[in-house]
Amino acid sequence: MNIYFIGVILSIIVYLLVGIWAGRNVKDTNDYYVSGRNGSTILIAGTLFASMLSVTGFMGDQGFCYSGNITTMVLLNTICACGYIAGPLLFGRYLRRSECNTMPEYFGVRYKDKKIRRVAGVITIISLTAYLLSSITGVGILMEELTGLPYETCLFLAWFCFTGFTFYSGSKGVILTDTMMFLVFLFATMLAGPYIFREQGGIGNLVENLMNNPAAHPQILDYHGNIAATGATDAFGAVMYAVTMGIVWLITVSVSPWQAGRNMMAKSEHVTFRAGAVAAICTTVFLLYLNLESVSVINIHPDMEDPQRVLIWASMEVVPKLIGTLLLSGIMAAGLSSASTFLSVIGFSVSSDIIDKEFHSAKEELRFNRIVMLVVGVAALILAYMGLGSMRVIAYFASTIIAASWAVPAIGSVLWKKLSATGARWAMLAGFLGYIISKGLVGFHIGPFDGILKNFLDPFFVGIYLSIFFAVLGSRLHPKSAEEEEYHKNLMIVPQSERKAADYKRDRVYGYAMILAGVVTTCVLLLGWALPYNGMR
Amino acid sequence: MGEIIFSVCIGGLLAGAGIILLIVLKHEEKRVCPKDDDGKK
Repeated sequence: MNIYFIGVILSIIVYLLVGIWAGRNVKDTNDYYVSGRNGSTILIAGTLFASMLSVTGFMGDQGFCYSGNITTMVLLNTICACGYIAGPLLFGRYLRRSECNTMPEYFGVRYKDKKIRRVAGVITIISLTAYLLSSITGVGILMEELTGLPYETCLFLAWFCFTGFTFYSGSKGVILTDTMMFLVFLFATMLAGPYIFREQGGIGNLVENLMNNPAAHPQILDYHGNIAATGATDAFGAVMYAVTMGIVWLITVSVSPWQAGRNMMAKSEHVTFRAGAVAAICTTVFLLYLNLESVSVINIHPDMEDPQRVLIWASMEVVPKLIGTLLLSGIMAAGLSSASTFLSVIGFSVSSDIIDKEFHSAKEELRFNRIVMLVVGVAALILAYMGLGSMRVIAYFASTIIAASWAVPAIGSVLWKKLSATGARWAMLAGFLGYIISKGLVGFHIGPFDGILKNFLDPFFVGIYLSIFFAVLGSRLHPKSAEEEEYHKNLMIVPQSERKAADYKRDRVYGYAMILAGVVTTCVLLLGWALPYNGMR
Repeated sequence: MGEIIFSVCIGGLLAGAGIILLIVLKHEEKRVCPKDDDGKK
């Protein structure tokens, strides 16, 4: 039994205990679905960031940086970060204002259409189940490596941990454990940094060491990064890859249920802005710091066979054992937090949007929701044991499909006055099918599509373009009803409880913090990399 | 040179998003916050 094994088991026990403790305060479905709509800035920011960052963020993305694409990742992440501001302003605050419990319910209420609620519910279940499977599998593989236990046992342990508290405590437990996990990987990464930087000669010498390191990719310090790894043939293509993928993730964090849906739990609309600002700063600054740790390892261990393991290797070989254990527990926590969010969103959708059941009491409704959550969790475990989570094709489709199909009906529900229920429903289906079909053509290398469908013709954007087309067509053929018009009008009115000057004043602090973080980031990049690399300092 | 533009863009995007948040909320505050008898917010 090594220290990593103890760390993993200990962290699982702590998350379970905290989740169960939170579950004791769950009185009704309002608590279970949206945590009593009482989430503070730190809780909403924690769950936003922890749900977004999964094992892939600590492994696949870091391997990409190690292989020469740190600039690609930094640009992509920074564009994605803007979604945390655009999301609450254009959609999240209205979602919260609707007082719905799930996003499909919001679509049903906003468009006065039961069918769109069902369609959105089915899309949620399909896409998030795929993402959940991919997350469980990632955590299982990582745990197997850390503990030495058989993969099947690790899969069960991971599943038992997040299903245990998600089924009992719902969102109340999920946002609490998400925030704990967010703090664990945040502090672990901050603590590990100095050791990794020092081992390669100090952070001040990182650029020079990389320039003199023949094992580092020759384009690693160029603004475009490793061109070939992005699938492009020139610098412009490589930058376009980062820009388009950044926009894909900007839209994803703005409208997907596992991101925008977190706003429904916020204490007020102001909390959605503040939490968004915190998540945006973390996505840019924290991930830049994490990426720097990964490229530092090139100067310590330049020939890593599997670059995805760069941070795992550093945790075990470079940093002190205790901090290494904390960092590895943090990486696992990133996977568990995403999995718990996906499971909760799927469970809520099954019980609320798909099964239409009348209840005699709040207690009966809560019990029913818990049973559904457990059944969904067991089904996910069975699918994971069948190996579906490790299928590349599943992970390939999973992450952004929901954003491709929901972007137009979601943002349109606020900004597009003429968008009708039919237009929104058709847009949702067209986005979903357009994305799946074009992604399939690319993924299975069918015909010339592999080379054509990229950048702004990426399957994600094909889904968005089709979604816009069908939204226009549907709204022309079946215009908006008076009832929809009325709801939209009322949705635009800022509630009295949100009209406090003191709240706006507090929001401004977060805006200024973003400006400060932006200025500092530019200065650090200029002085630490761009100027010396160009021989100007 | 590309690295310098890149550095400015990265911080600029984050700062720009913060400025947009400030502008939108300032505009909204003026529109919705009630004034007291002295005409103060």
